[in-house]
Amino acid sequence: MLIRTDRAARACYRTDGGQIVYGLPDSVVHARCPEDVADVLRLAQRDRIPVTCRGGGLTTEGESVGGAGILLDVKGMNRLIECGRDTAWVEAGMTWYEVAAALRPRGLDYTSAPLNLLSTVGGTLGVGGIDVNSPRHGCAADQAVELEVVTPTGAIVRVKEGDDYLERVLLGYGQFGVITKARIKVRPYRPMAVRHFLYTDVGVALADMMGLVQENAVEACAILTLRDDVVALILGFEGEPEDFPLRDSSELRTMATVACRFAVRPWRWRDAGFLRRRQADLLPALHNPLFVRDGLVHDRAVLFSRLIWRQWGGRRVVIPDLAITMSNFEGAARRGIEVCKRYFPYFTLYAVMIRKFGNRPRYEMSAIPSTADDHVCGIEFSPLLEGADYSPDHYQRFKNAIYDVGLELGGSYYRFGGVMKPYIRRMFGDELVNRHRAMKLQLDPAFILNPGVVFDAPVAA
Amino acid sequence: MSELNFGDCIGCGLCILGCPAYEETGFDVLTARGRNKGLQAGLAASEMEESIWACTLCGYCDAICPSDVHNVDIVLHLRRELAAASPTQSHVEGLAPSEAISRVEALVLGCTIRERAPHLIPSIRTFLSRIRRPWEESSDACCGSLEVEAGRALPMKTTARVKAGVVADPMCLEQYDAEFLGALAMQHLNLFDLEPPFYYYAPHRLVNRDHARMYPLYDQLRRRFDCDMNLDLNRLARSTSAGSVQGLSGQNARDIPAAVARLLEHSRAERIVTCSPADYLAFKAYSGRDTYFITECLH
Repeated sequence: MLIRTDRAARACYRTDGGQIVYGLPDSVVHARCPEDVADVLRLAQRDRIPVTCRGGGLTTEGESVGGAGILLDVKGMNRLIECGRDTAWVEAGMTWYEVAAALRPRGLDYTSAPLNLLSTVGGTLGVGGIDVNSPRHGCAADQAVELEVVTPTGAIVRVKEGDDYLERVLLGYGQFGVITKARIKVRPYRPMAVRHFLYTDVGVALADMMGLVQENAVEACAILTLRDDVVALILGFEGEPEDFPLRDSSELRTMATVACRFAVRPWRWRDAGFLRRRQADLLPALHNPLFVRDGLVHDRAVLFSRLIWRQWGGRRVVIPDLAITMSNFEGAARRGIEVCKRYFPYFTLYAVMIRKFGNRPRYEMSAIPSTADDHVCGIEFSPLLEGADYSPDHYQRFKNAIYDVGLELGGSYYRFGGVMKPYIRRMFGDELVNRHRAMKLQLDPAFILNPGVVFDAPVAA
Repeated sequence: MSELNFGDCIGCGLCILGCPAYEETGFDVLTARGRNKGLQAGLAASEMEESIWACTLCGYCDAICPSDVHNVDIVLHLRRELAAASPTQSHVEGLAPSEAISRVEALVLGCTIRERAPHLIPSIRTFLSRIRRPWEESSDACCGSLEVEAGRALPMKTTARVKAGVVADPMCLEQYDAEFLGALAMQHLNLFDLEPPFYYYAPHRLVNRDHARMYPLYDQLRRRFDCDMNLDLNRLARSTSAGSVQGLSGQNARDIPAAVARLLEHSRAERIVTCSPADYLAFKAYSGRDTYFITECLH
């Protein structure tokens, strides 16, 4: 274990991916093994020192920012321990990039993980991990079949599928223990052919995506928009691309439709400029010959990972989201778009679907909304700032407005911790939240592990 | 510091993926993200000395940064600040190259070859003769690249148009606008005996800092011979840190044997080839495998 208290070491962790919340921890501990984590948690439990656990630090609402106490950096636990044909036993501080790099020489790949490869395995399993592979494989948390976890009181335990504690820790937002190792599902690595289909109506695109997902027709899919003017349904095929009866428009027709819309609205010509700029920047990146050969995208996640930061990153990363049922997918998208238009001239929508495996206890208070359907849906709404900046209040009002749509439609959120914590009780209700908080208190009596991220700390006597 | 764009760092962490200092220590503070976050928090260079001297200037962070932060420039600037604050070491005017070096077609061997691997010189000369390049050698004067990297001098190529014909050590390219011997070799692959399987260590600085021009050359090698290389999933070059001011001076040295082991972890090739002199010596010393400088592989 390595402990650092110098200002430079602490300053690295002063904010997270969202860059909205700032704070300096008193010390930084670099854990190299589960025993290091256990030592820290035992000490913290004894002395009631808050511990903020941090992997890639890519939270957006300050969840991995520690304003006091110990910042526990787990990225040092980053080895592939063993690897079989179907599963790999990995240390939870590995980033998905490191997982991909370690599996590739073995001809393997992970099954489902965020396209942003800088997230760590442990952090992702804690919150869900949702992306283009989720329609077929489910969220990343559903890829873990066994875990090693350090409890908030410092015990190191192994849990398997079917164990209650595993169900608590997966999608547990880091409240019930620190994941130190995970056995995750793996599969043969295959390059992917990516096709995109353009629409001018988001509802039609969403309906087409839901149809494909319900037929289990594609390996990966997502919808990406530029405002609501251009909507792209992106499909990934690991085998030969197939033809489907989609209701998309040809590129020419889409562009003509968009041009006609702008032609009669001179006040929107700046928007046309925005679309052309983004298109000119995005398309070459998607066809980068470094990663695309013979029509196949090699190392797709690596390509998209950088692209995500280049296109959507910025000095503020504001991504409110809605996790909803299929029946509310279109309504949520349309209402979210109206909210976006009220707050920002330019924005994007990113919509994915997630396979759900029955009613596992882990889904109970998570980004997987309760429904009898086999799939649930997620939509992220991101302003594209184009060099502009707004006050923190403006961003917060925008996030609140999106989250209010969620309250009305029912469902959940992917990012409900940190700054957005007040929505937890409004969405899930007091009974459920109190029950989970009681479980937290039982496991973490001094309430030291990631305190304040999801639950309110007990009032000191 | 206003001209340096550390404020553009969005904290994504892509820069840590291939950072040699991070690979060895696991400390964020030693990475470009760590330095930029420190600078954003108002830290002075004197509070970040460890991080400033940990950087090996491999250029991975510059190549991958989605915000186009000039991380190498930031480190060099901070080193010059530290050197200026230490009067005994401060002489930041540009180092003048010797007369011989400024002649257009001179061959600059570099200190590493001249002092630690002179046995490579005949094969370098033979190669240049075969491709009909003049190889009149430069004088013995040091090119001064290490002084530049240590923050004690400004790079000549930014202050004056200094040319050398061919440079055999990527380190010297800090001072000269010149052709690199290893890149010339990639353009004449038929001259070499490169029977697979082998591991080729591409010169990390060149590949990372001049990616658009250099990567295709080394990628062509990889495709033609299906050899293992130090190129990662991002198509960027990972480094041993041997060809850096730390590796060559021994100060703030990185753990080069560990880096060599990491790079070779998935390669079973018994033969290692490179065009980077310092890395050639590192692989020779620590890999336990047959190691060749590219010109030693001439038919």
